[in-house]
Amino acid sequence: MTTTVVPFGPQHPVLAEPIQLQLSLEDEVVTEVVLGLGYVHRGIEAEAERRPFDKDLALLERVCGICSVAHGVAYAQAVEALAGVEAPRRARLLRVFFFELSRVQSHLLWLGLAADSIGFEALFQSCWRVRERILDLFSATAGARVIIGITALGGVRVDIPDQRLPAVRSALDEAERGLGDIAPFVLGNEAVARRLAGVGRISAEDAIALGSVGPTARASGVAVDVRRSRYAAYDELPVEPIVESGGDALARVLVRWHELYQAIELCRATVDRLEGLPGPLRTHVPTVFRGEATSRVEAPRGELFYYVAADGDRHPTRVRIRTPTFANLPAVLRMMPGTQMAAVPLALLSIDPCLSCTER
Amino acid sequence: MRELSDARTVPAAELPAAAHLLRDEGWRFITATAVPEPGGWMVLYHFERDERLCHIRTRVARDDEVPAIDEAFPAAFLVENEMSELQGVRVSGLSIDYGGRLYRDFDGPEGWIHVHGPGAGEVVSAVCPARGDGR
Repeated sequence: MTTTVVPFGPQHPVLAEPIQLQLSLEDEVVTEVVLGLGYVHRGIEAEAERRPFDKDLALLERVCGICSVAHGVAYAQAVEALAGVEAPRRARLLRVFFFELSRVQSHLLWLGLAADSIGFEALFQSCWRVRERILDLFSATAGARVIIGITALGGVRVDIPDQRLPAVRSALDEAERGLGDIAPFVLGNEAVARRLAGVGRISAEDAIALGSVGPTARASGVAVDVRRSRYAAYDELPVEPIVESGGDALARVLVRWHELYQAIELCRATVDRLEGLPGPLRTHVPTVFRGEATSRVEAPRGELFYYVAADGDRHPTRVRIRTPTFANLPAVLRMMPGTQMAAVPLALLSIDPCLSCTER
Repeated sequence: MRELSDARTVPAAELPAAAHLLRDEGWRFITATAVPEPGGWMVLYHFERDERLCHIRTRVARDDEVPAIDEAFPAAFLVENEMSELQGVRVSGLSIDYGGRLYRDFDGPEGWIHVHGPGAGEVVSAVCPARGDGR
């Protein structure tokens, strides 16, 4: 049979950011795929080696707009480990609050885009309507909607005073009610289920072997979740990973859907602990270090890993960032052979690819 | 100097065997980090098991090769290609070798390193001869 080579991307209607999958097709079925990156690579790791530690925070929060909090916290944790200090409890709780709120807006953003890609525009609009409430909450508590810059080395920059907590609780309730309104269209819609089932299937064995992380791994039955390592305030807010066994796009939707409720519940638990809790927001962190440290956090798309090395200078000698999408790309390459050409966009979208993160 | 706990150093030639051992013990590959040193590279491989980390450290001279570990950990091929293309670390025995074309050039189909890399006279991230210290 004749093999046809089709370039999928770097520009494609379902892609907000550029990536290329060079697909070899026999008839309508993918037989081989070659990955192409680098279209928007920004050299942020190298740039971070030229800036002082504290200035790097603002840079690294901009690796990705959607998981900006994750990058800020991961870097701050690595620097705090280098300095041998720990953020105060109130700061660690606030980090978890904003972290989980970020997970809600990230999952809703993705769910909306996935709905749009299968032609379900009403669901896209509904998801983003609920997401707007979360962005409003960001604005009311942190003063910004997307890159909120709440993290500081040694703690956080912003506090949520007790008198604001009732409004926060109310906003969380409203977001949860919004989820309830759209739940029938996500969980009970046969058209959605038939469109997603079987697309981009990855077995548990492949997910482990290929180093998959986050909802992509959990949807294949692999119970990985960095929050179980008890960073920030997760030591007092234990998280049980949400796992599905289907390994396909439908299972990834279900994992993220249930994680929305889990994240809102974690936000509520954090607010309960913050109420009346005294304490500083920051610990002093020196500006010069010598040594090396690592840090991991569970970003919305999965494990985000930082390595920071310092030789006594005012800036790091190495900042290494392994983003969740980078870790999930081998799974994308594995899931494509055997996939119908028409299902390629949805299979790729199902891992919630973030090229901004990948092209750090 | 605060170094990573649970890190051990192995000669580059023993890296694949060390990786196979870790795989058999149930460790998951996270990523690799190439850190420039005078005259060469320190390459760290990071692994996780049951929320614990361990690291393998190896050192290679600038013109020497570090063997790939993607036979033990298939997920490693991507970062090994990246180290090769964006930093200039020589990686041998890759099961999937992009030949310098994983990271594309902005203006054409060629790999970025072929157009802008050291061979083309431009400075690649972390390979900065102007500093004279290997960075």
